[in-house]
Amino acid sequence: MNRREFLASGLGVVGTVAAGLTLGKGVWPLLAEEDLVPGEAPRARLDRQAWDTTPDRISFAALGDNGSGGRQAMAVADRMAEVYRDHPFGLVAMLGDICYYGNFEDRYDDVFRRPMTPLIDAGVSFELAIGNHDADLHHSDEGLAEIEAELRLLGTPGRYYTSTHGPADFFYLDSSVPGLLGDGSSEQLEWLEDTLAGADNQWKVVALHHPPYSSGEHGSTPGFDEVLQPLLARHHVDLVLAGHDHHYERTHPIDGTTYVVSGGGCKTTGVARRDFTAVAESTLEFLHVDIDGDRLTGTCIRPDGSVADSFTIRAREGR
Amino acid sequence: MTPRTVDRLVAGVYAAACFGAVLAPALAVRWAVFRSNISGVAGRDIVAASVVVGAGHAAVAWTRLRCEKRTAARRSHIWIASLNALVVLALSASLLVLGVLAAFADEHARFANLGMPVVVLWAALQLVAVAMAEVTGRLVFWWLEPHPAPHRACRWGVLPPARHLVRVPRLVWRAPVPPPVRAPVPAPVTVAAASRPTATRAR
Repeated sequence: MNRREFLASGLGVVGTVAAGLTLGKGVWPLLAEEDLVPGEAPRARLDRQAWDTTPDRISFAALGDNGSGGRQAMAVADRMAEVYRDHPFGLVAMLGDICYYGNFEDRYDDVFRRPMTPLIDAGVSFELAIGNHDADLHHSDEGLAEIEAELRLLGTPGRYYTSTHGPADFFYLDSSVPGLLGDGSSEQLEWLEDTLAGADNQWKVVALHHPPYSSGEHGSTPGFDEVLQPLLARHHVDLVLAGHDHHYERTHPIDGTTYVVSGGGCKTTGVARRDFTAVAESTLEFLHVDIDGDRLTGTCIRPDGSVADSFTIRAREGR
Repeated sequence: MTPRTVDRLVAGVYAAACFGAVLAPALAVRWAVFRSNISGVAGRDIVAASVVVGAGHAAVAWTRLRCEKRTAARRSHIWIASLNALVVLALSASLLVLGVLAAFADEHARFANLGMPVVVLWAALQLVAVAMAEVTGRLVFWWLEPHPAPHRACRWGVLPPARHLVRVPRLVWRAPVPPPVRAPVPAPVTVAAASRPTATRAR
């Protein structure tokens, strides 16, 4: 073997090993997890304001981690439009991570306007629990600019806020660090404590990005079981909606509160089952919720229209 | 199994590996679609595009191997060059797609809005990957093969050397030439001086 043959064959062998590791452990799983292929926007035409919200009745949808603008995000958005046709809802609670692969200001049309056009045209309102940039959100100018853009473009009143629709009070939280954890988090927690204590509606729904309980890739958010869960239990919150992990999961009621992860807006990651898990599935999905009097019915719907989970919560006594 | 059959078998396996390297990223995307409970049709256009590009490249790779087998000075040069080409193909076919789709998401979405099917972009990126692999394979093969200085041999750029185009000095067998046979030299004739009359003899 001469010098050239030695060099070329060595390069080939090293390249083979490097390619195997790079592709097998990095690139192909990434292609399978991400939603990079751009998709066509849904073209459904929906009846405007077809929902029926009364003091004891409301329908809404919850959607998390849908910010790719790819085919899978479009498939979920398309299914939402189809569901609206049969079961109209006037509100979409967005559970964070509404923009991937760029900043929201540049990608507003791709990740929000285009997929949601049928619902926007139908007059559906969107309320956001911010969630982009999972960590260090408030520690960079870019992070702050991203939050500002999201709040401004979606007309969101602030990083954390409350809204009332029919018989339900919604509490949207900024779950990033230091939103609910660490130094500087006491302000939001005090606000939440006071607002929950003052809420007198029949149903209390909390929406945030990071899940207090999850069996997925990210898992339960450390610290929430000490900081958030006792507070939610103390104020008899009925339903907590979260994203972050790209799957669907519902817990058994924990101190009377049901926790749902609905992060399958455009990507999927694996999910296991833990002792608090009632239902878990790695799938694209969104959650449709009907509140009618003392009964809350949640339905997790896959992009093909099939139902991954359906559950009912009865209102607490005295409400 | 004859050496010729082995060569064909190995060339076939190599062509199949090339096909698989081109198809793999499309299958990864298709797997995501399959797992996500989207309708069965989604993602098939990308797989179809990769099948077309991959099959074309497999045919080209097969042909290149057969061609190189006829001209190679050593068989190992073919396989070393092919291994390098396959590494470049596998990496570029997946990384190009991943990088371009992730880095230029806005632009692709804009094209999609205009009605340009993403499958065109997908096929174009994979064709670039195939071209990179082919250039690598041919370049490495050319580099390994014996050849004179580049300015004389490389008149066709990076194309591999074909024996009839490259002026490689060859060893030519010639019949041994027998050493020349010398004719025998006749022995000198000696004449006795005493028997000759000398000119000085008194006349």
